[in-house]
Amino acid sequence: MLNPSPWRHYRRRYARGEVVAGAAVLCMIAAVGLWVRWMGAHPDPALARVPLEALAGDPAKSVSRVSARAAPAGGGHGSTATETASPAARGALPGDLAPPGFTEGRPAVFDSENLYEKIDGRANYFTSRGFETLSFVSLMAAPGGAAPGTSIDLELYDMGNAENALGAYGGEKSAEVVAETHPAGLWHLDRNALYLTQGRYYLRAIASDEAEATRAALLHVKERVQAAFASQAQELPWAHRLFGQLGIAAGRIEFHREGAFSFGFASDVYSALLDDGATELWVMAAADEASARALADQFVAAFASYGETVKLGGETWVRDRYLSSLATARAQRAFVFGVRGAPTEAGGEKAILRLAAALESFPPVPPSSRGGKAASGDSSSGGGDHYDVSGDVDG
Amino acid sequence: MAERGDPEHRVGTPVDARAQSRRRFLRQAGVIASVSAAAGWAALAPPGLPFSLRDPDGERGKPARHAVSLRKGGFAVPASAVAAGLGVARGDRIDAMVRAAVDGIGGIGRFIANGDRVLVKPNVAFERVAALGATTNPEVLVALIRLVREAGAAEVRVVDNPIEAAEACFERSGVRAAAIEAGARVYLPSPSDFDVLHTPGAQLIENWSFFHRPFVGVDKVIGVAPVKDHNLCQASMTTKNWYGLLGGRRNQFHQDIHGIITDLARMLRPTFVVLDGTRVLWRSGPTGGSLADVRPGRTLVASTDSLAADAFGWDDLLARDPGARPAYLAKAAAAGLGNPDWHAVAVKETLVG
Repeated sequence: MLNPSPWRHYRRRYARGEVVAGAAVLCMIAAVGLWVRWMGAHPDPALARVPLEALAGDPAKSVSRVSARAAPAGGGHGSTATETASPAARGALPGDLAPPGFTEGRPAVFDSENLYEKIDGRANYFTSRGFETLSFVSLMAAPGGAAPGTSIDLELYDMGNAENALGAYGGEKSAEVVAETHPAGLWHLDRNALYLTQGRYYLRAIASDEAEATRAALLHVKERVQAAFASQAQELPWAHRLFGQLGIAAGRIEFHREGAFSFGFASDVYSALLDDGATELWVMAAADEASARALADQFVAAFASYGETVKLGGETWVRDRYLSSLATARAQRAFVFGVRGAPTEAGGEKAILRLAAALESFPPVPPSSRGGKAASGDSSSGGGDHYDVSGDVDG
Repeated sequence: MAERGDPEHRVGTPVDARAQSRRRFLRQAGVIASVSAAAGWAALAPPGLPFSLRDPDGERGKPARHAVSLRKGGFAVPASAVAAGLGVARGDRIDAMVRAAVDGIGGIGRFIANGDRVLVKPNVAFERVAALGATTNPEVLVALIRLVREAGAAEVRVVDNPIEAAEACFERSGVRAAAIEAGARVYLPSPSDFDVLHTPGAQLIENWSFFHRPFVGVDKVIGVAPVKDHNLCQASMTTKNWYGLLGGRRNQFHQDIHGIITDLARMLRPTFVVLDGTRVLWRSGPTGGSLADVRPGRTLVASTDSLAADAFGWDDLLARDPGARPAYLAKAAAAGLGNPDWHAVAVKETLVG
């Protein structure tokens, strides 16, 4: 703009060599441009290959995906995690987890806001059961150790309390599996996978195969986790003692934190399947006797939405219109209890009377374990309405 | 009066030369002032005014992202009056089963032409070994890719955007090794591979981030999905499989899981789908974990109608109540996206030794 002769050529002629060199440079630039464009349109995926060994990685490079809101305070509750550079990113995982022949991969921690990044589609199963954090790590076969390609994925769920952990465990345990009991929870080894609850924690250790050596490694993990969380040892929830009096194995007991039997008002309900494989006993603790009676009525009304009420032996039962099985609910002291799925009235009545007898002298349940609290956001209420312990019906 | 071209005049009239110099200066100063004023206006004028380039929040500076569209009519081939609606193969020899299932719906020659570029979408959602049934069986993938290549495909692309780290999912599931062994190219997602896809009529994803780059230049699209129990939508099969092409915060769609699967059926009209029932994750889905959650299905299903394939998977492979099928099947059928009533279509079933 400030040059009065912007188009003036100061050299009128160029040497032939200069022209050739200039053209060559231009051609080269054009070729590079075309090559970049072609490679961009046809990327070689081999360039992005990441071998599994690299994925095992350096434990110090832990991945913390837990949000600041839910970040754990230390390297695990009572854990002995000491070897990682970033204990917070290790979550609740104990240290020294890898069995002989395995090496630890990169730990990661997830909370309820990003659990979907790990188990999208399955996240709701845990978040609806009081999930707080998931601490994850893969154990990979070390060179010269376990069979090449063998891996164990450890998923340690902090479920907030033992009831929730048992609930998550019970929901994933198949009916035919008999759980083993230990002082702080339940466990079983199912082919290639170890399931264990320890206090507030629920551990799933999923191996890539079911070889004997791999199953031995899973048992090593079990011992390690139990030892690390010894401080979590506590009595099993009250319903386990109650059902234990009836001779029902702990592994048959399930905990429904909310939405039990698809009833929106039914929270903190324990159930146990009896030996006939059909009859299910269930129980929950209410705030007081009046609340228990109101809840029992609510259960009967909810069962009735699937069938018709009938009077049998002076008691109200509901016969399921599809399954022809019987269900009922009763109240005793501050407990609500009942039977579902009973094939006959006699069998159902016998089971419920045994439960009533056990409840006669059963100690009161602490307030924190009582049910009937408003179940949040459940649209699947069979009874239609939400209910709280005060007896009010929320329309 | 002296002429301008007169050398004597030029040399001898300094007053005129000064006048020219002054005019040039004024002209240049005027140009500079005008440019400065224009630049000042563009930079400082409020964004709503004409010619304003002001960008207080940086939004205007972002490159414009235009929505892309998939091919009109999808990747389907013309309907056949003679081919069956479902090709079902049962047995243990997976390569023969893939061939038999596709033969049941008209054979691979009906779908793949010489020189086609084919995109194959397996389910590689989780970092699980194949035996756990949470991902597509790599043996099925190998057989399918080989079949497609035999038909003359110039290029086969294997594509998924897993939930977990893509590299780990492709490695652990065996899908990456299988794809390369069979001569396909694996496309792992990176942020620049996503574009906003416009899907007319979709309720939830009318304009949504989509793993688009591998689709550039593609002629045919094949989905190959395992049969899985699903915690939210009861079952995950060939229609839900397209979920793995979405980007963004797609987990929010779990609030309306059947709605999003209906949208997925609308979003992508494949050439055909293969329902991988060699293993059935019959509970604890979609992640699974225990081998006890998996049972052998020994079945492969091929169909041009993903709703029919899914309904077959629900009834036959998951062995669940046909009266309680996942709601998306009815929703998508009501939208004219397929026919889940597989009993109403011809089924060619082959027993492979």
